[in-house]
Amino acid sequence: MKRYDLRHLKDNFEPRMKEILGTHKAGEVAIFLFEIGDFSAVQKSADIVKESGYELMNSLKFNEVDWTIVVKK
Amino acid sequence: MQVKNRLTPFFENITFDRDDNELILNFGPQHPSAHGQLRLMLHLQQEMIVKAHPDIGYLHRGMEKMAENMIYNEFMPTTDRMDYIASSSNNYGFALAVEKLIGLEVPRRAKVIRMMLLEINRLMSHLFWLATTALDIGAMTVFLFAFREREYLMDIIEGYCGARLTHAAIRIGGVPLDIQDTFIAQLKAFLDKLPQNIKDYEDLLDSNRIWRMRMEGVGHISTEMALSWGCTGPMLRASGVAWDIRKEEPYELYDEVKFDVPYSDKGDNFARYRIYMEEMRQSAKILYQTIDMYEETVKNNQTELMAHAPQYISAPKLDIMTQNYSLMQHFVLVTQGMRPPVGEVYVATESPKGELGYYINSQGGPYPYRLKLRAPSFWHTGILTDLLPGHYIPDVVSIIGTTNIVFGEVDR
Amino acid sequence: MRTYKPKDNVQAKAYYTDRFWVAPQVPKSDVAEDAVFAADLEALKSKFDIKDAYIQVEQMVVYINPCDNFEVIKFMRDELEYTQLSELSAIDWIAKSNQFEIFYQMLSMKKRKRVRIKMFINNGEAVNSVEKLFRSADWSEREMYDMFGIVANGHPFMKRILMPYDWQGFPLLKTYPLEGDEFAAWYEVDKIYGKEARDIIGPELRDTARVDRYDSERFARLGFEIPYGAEVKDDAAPTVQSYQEEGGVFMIKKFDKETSVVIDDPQR
Repeated sequence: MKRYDLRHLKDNFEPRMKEILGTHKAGEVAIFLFEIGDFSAVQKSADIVKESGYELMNSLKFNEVDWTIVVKK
Repeated sequence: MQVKNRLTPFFENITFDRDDNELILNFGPQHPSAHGQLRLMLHLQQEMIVKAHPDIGYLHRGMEKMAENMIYNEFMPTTDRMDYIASSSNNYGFALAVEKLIGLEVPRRAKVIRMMLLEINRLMSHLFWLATTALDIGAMTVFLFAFREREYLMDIIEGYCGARLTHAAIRIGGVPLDIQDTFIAQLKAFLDKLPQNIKDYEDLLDSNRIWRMRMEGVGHISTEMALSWGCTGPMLRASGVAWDIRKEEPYELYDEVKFDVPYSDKGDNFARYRIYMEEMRQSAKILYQTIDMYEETVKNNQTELMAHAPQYISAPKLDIMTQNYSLMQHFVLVTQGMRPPVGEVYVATESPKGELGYYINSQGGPYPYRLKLRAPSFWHTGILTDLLPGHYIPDVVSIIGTTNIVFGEVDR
Repeated sequence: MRTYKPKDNVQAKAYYTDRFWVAPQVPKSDVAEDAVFAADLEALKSKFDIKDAYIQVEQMVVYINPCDNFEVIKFMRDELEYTQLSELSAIDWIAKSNQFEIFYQMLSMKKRKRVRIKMFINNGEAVNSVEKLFRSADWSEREMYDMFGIVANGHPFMKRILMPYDWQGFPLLKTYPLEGDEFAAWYEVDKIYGKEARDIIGPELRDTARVDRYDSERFARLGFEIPYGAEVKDDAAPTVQSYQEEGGVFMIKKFDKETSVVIDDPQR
């Protein structure tokens, strides 16, 4: 289980998230934290997760500006 | 400007001249080689010590009182500040005591990581001891060498738990983090260089006339005196009693690891010095074996790091983020703290200084009812009262050095 | 009706306790299960009056009468080969039964066993010192006196060890608050300047994050620097701070970027 904080990338966190999702082995869990912005990031992250074959375990509103998702290969 | 005050001249660093020419000298709280805040009142006949009275308490923070007002997990960072040279061994002692009280079974990978942390701490503590003792006696180069070695270890520990001195790297029930990927590589690099480094120190010190004159025959502790004063660890092993808790009462995985226990019957400073150097080699041997054990746990995929006991230990992060019940459990454990069963436990572990014991008496509440910390350096300071008479002032410095006392532990 | 909270235990208490929850007990097993302990207990029972004995977490716990603690420890050391007195301390039960519980933690290196000798004494009683048997008890008893006020008769230097010699109050009692009582708060001021100086000096500031914006001797005003000790006015002109990164004053004169090498190998 590894935690990744992508908040500093603000809106363009997708390339970095794709790159991280590529490195994980089966059964490993990753928790991502990123900025909400205009709430489009939430849908985009869900699409990326589905696209790279991960299972979206949980998707929570972390606080006023951040969103966190828990994914598992 | 000295404020006129009602303070009787008892505390100040004042020397009294008495008619029978006995001088009372304060080997004061602020002294370069006092290894912390030790006020040693020495009654001197010229240079020879007639009576020694160590006065401690300058670093007393009331840890046992704080323990009674803190929940168990909250007290873990406080145990760092006890023996701040090897703080993971304090954490481990406390974690083992609570686990025995609750009856927890720690997963294997966490045990291996804990063993690695303990042995790295032992090496750091011995290197620090070698540096400060050699510096006190004047060997500057050994001081610089030993601290350079210690830096490598500190980088490894910092990579793991983010802190160099106060690690808080061990939780009750396991280990919070898996080791980072550069851990094994850096550790191997360090361990391959260590034997050569230790040989360098011994070449520098063993045949050095000053070192041998200051160390041999000085500070002789007989076996009965060591046992009577409750000395443990290298102090006891130098006085002829081969008692090492890792070997006699094996905890964690010390029974699966092959290592030897150095001891000698000379009992003087030089014996203690030899024992510390040999223990460094033994720790390196243990670390090599723990690396193999770690790779073995990776091979057969034992990946949990914390024990599974829902009412005492919160669930792994994945469950907390996804399962509702473990989130509630986590919330209660963090805010109110876990409540161990009613009972008491005394657990002794082998810290680099000696036998570090935790006595926990819990009455079922989240706060321990009584927590007594048995710090080895407390009695290693006490023995100075019987040990110093008959020695000279320079011997005080080398004796304090080899007793390896740390005042965070003495005063608690 | 509010549950009764004992006033003589001012340590932290759980603010929520389930009324019908009974705390489980750490398993106590009978001494007969361990041959070594059983033999030791028989030897002890033959000579002394043992109140209670059980094994808890692989260590034998034996309750004895407080008057014969010296003989029991002497017997343990000489006949039963318990070589070391690892620890000696007390537990404060004043709130429950106005008693102290004193325990001697002993270690036998030959048998690799640990035993805990315990006894109850009333509040205000003294114990006879075992310092003659184990010199380690010398400092342990001084610490017990310092923390609980239990005097050890026959101790060569029965004085405080961790607190100053003239400290009043015993810190580890359950009635002693964590932050210290009134004597503790004013100890230094009374010693050095006397009671009268208390209101001049004022109480100790324990809040480590305290900032007083109108005190220019102890606190700096970043961005609005004023001379040390000057009187603070809110409309001071902001002082401009120029940093090297923003093209401000260059700190190193002869630094040549081309010839310098960046080292990023942590092992160097």
